[in-house]
This record gives sequence, C-alpha cells and structure tokens, in this order.
Amino acid sequence: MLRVNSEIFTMIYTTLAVMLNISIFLYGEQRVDAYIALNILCFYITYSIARPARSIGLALKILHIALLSLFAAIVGYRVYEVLT
Amino acid sequence: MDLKLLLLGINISIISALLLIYGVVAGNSGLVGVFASSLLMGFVLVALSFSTQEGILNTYQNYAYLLTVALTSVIEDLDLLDAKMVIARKNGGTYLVLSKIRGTDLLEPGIGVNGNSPYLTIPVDNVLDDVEEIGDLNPVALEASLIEVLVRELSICNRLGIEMLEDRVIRLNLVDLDRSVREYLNYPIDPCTLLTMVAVARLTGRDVFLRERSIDLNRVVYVFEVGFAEGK
Repeated sequence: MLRVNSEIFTMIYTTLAVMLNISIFLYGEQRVDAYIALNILCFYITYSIARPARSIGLALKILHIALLSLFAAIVGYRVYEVLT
Repeated sequence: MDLKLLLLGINISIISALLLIYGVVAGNSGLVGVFASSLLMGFVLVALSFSTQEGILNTYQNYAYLLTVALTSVIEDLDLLDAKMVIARKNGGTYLVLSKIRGTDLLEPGIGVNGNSPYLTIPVDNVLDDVEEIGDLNPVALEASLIEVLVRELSICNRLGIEMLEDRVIRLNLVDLDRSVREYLNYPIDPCTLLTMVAVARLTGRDVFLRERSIDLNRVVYVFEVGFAEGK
C-alpha cells in the first residue's frame, strides 16, 4: 500500500520514464538529448500529479534549476539548429 | 532524509553510469540515450531523498505544535509569560519548573500557587533519560557530550559552542538550527530550549536555570546557571 506522496511520485515517475525510454528506443531514436528532454518532461508531469514533498528543500531547488536549465539548453539548441 | 530512496537513486545512478560507458564504447547512441535518461532518473531520486522525510515525522510535528499552543495558552492564563524557567533535579526526579519565584521547591507536578505566585511544574523524567552524567562542570567535556546529544542524536542544530562566563554560568550557542525546531522558538516553552536544558541538567547532574535567551536568524544563545543556590 502506498502511504506518502514521495512513494506515489517515485512509482509514477520511474514507470513513466522506463516505459518512455523503451518506447523511443524501440522506435529507433538515436538522439541522446531526446531521451533526456522526455525524461525531464516525465518528471514535471509526475510532479504535477503527485508532489513528493510538502516544502521545497535546497536539494529540490537545485534539482529544479538543473532540470529546467538542461531542458532549456536542449530546446534552445534544437531551435537554433532549425533556424540555421 | 529518506534512506531507502537515497539507496535506490545511488544504485540506479551507478548501474546507469556503467551501462552508459558501455553504450559510448559500443558506439550505440540509442543505448547512450536510454542510460543517460536513467542516470538522470537516479539523480532525481537522490535529490528527492534529501527533500522528503518519514511520514510519521509529520504526525509528531503536528502533535508538537498542538501541545506547544495548548501549553502557551495555559502559561498565558497563569500570567507566567515572564516567568523563570528551571530544570530541577530533586528526590530522584527531574522537573521543568516555570515560576516567577526563583526556586526549585515547587515540585508538585501540575499547576499550583505558592503564596500569591502561580507556578507550573512538568515532570520530564522520561526526556533524554539515557544521557549519562559526566560529573564536574567541565566546559570541554560538556561541549563534546552536548554535540553528541543535540547535534548527532537529536539533530537540533549543526554546530554548538560553550563558553564559561563565570563560576557555574555558561553561555551555550546553538548554530544552524533545524527548521522544524526554529519555528517554535518564539513560544514560552519550545522543544529546543526544553531539550537543551534537560540535556545540560542530565550531563551535569545539577539544576539548570535559564538566565537569558536570545534568538538570532539561524541561531539561539542561552545563558544557563548550573547548580544555582535557591533564593538567590
């Protein structure tokens, strides 16, 4: 039985990420950044469904900054590629 | 911190890193992508483990808040907001005494009146009862023992220091207080002050009188009189 939000979060996030990884790998995707960007999306989808902690601690703040920066860099790079 | 989640995150990170190296060596971008994503998942779980806490702690926090508010109402009704706080050791028992009269002879547990002055006595026999007495009031030994109890065991703060002001008077400086402890500091009786006083009383084997308490942003400074003479 799941008791706390962090357990629900872990369950949904890992399941979603593994399923998505397997799916796009079988689809034949070769771009590393696509896997990472989709994983970050998985994280935020799950975060909106089951918030793991009542208050945002320092570790979670750093994680948010890192994930959003990484996602912005990946998207920025792809947009730059399309434009040039 | 959630230890299970931390171990899970570290395991996933290590295995993913190893398979990521394999993917790079084999030159398979798909595998590199899968395991880079898994590595990220491991990092997320590690970060998450530092932000979550055992569910039962929330229960105790709510309970502590309820008791603190209830006790504050009682103290206000008794007009003891500016009372003196003492941890008294008498007749084999340990008591928290809150009274305007400085003394430790008011040891009937509960609420009472001595002359015209009300008092509140709470038995704290079960609080930190496994802490052993160190004997003389030696600031170095007391500091080492308090670090063991307040920092390592109870995690009230991350650092502490003791300074001997006069004979039997010490200044105790608690730095980097835990957030859950800090939010109670403005109440007349708070977990940090109570546990610190009981720890000092148990370690020295003497009564402890709170002479002064000052709260800073992230630290609290106590001045304790240890083993004071009654009626002074």
